[in-house]
Amino acid sequence: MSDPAEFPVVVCVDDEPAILSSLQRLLRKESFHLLTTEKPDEAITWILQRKASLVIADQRMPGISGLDLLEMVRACSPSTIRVMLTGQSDLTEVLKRTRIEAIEWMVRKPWDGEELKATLRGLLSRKGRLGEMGRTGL
Amino acid sequence: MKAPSQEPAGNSRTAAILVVDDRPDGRQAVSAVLEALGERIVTASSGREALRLSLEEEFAVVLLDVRMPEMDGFETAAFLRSRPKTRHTPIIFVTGLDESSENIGRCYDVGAVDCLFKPFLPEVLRSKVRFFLDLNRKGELLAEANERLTCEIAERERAERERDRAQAELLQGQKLQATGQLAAGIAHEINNPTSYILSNLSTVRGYLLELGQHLRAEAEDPVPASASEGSATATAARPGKLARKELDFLLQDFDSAIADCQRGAERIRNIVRGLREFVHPDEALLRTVDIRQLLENSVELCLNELKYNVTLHRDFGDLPPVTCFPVQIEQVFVNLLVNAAQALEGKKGEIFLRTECEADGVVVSIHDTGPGIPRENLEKLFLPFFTTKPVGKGTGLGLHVAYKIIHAHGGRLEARSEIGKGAVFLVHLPIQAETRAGGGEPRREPG
Repeated sequence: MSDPAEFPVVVCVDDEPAILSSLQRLLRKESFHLLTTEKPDEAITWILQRKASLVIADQRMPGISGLDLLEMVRACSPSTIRVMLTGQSDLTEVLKRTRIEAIEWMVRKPWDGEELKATLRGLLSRKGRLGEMGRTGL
Repeated sequence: MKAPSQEPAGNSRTAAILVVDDRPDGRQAVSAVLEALGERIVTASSGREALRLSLEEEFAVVLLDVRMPEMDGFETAAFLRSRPKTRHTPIIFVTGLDESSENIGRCYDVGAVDCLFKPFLPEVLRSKVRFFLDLNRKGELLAEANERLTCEIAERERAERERDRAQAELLQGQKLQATGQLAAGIAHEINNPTSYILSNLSTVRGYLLELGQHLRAEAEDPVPASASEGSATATAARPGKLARKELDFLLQDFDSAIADCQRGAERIRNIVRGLREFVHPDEALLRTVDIRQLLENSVELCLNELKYNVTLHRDFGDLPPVTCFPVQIEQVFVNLLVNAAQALEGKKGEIFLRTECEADGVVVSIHDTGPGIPRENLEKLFLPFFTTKPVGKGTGLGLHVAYKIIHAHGGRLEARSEIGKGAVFLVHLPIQAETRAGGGEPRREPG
């Protein structure tokens, strides 16, 4: 996948613009298109229109929680890998919920840059493999 | 004060009369006369028996013969007087002694309230006894009323203590619950900037590395980078040298990354400062200052919140120097300014700052053109942990802290608002601050 035109699309949603720009900076040279937004509805639109391979959502957002958003993604775009971005303090609340299957991966704030990159690469390549094998849904 | 439970029910209604005479006919004669009063009559044939009976129950009145074997009436009376329980029981002597002044004197000396000399008129005996019975009844009624009153007062005090305790517990409970939410909110508030500060710092170290390599390559080969732009082979030939576009991006983004870090660190600092003020509201020094200068400092402190969408208007009237805790007053202004800015909800708006003199102090008003505060929220505005901001965006402490600070200075903090007409916060400060620590807890209706 060296041709940028074939790069997968990753959508990231967080209500904090500085978080989005720091991720944009961190992942600038990665082999995927990173689209960032502060608006959860815009994230859903992009996921559907651009057939996003992966979504990263913050848990704490005004209006909708990250978990609810990922639940929606699971319903309308099941092949999109769902990653939750969360601070330690929200973790217990998230783990208490029964709809934990809405989340496929959890990234803690503050994140380690190299670890995050490796995680995303891993998840995207798994998606590629699963795609070849015929993904049966999680 | 005797407890009512020790008294058999109804006993106080029928008072008992004690008739003491060693001769049965004497007892009978007196009892016969008193029967008409309808009260219970108890008889004793000796002073000793009278004392024993008076230990068992209380008598409304005691009729005492004087001449008795063993212990005469005077001795019996003296004993009755010496005991606390019977000290105030009225004693009437009924005696066959001469009606001499000596005998009358002795009767009164040992504490009798009256004495009757035989032969006596039955009406006289009856009316004397009736008088003391009435007195006794009135005394009992008074004692009962007193008892009831004491009980009521005790009950009321108990209820008040109970209510105070319940309120304190409730408040404590609310505080604890709110502290938990607050802790989660603050953790999030601090965690978010920490996340992007750390991420940006590691990114800009990478940028620095790239820029350093570029500078070294440039020093070795000072051909402009633009000349090699678009030529992959040319760039590869000079490792480390950056294309013009990439160089511009790095320099530009380096700056934005650092600016984000700075804003994030400022946010953490403000959160920590707010918490410190909450925990130690009286930590500062008393100084005489120009309030307008404090207001300007505060504007400077929250410029970040104000610079994008807020137009500030100043109308500063002359003010006398004010003695106060400047750090605290600045904190109040910062809280009010940040609130006013947030009330504008990111839309363009105006904030009017005004200072004025009043009779015994100064007034600072901060007026925003936001949507205003609904009446029901206006009442709760200064209560701790009250916030209308989304979770994690406000601690609900800003106005509470402001209220406590102003109150501790002996001033007043007022909020006025109408829907659609913005909100005004008025800070009234005395020229000379009171120096009491702590300050008052806001009630539902402050001011």
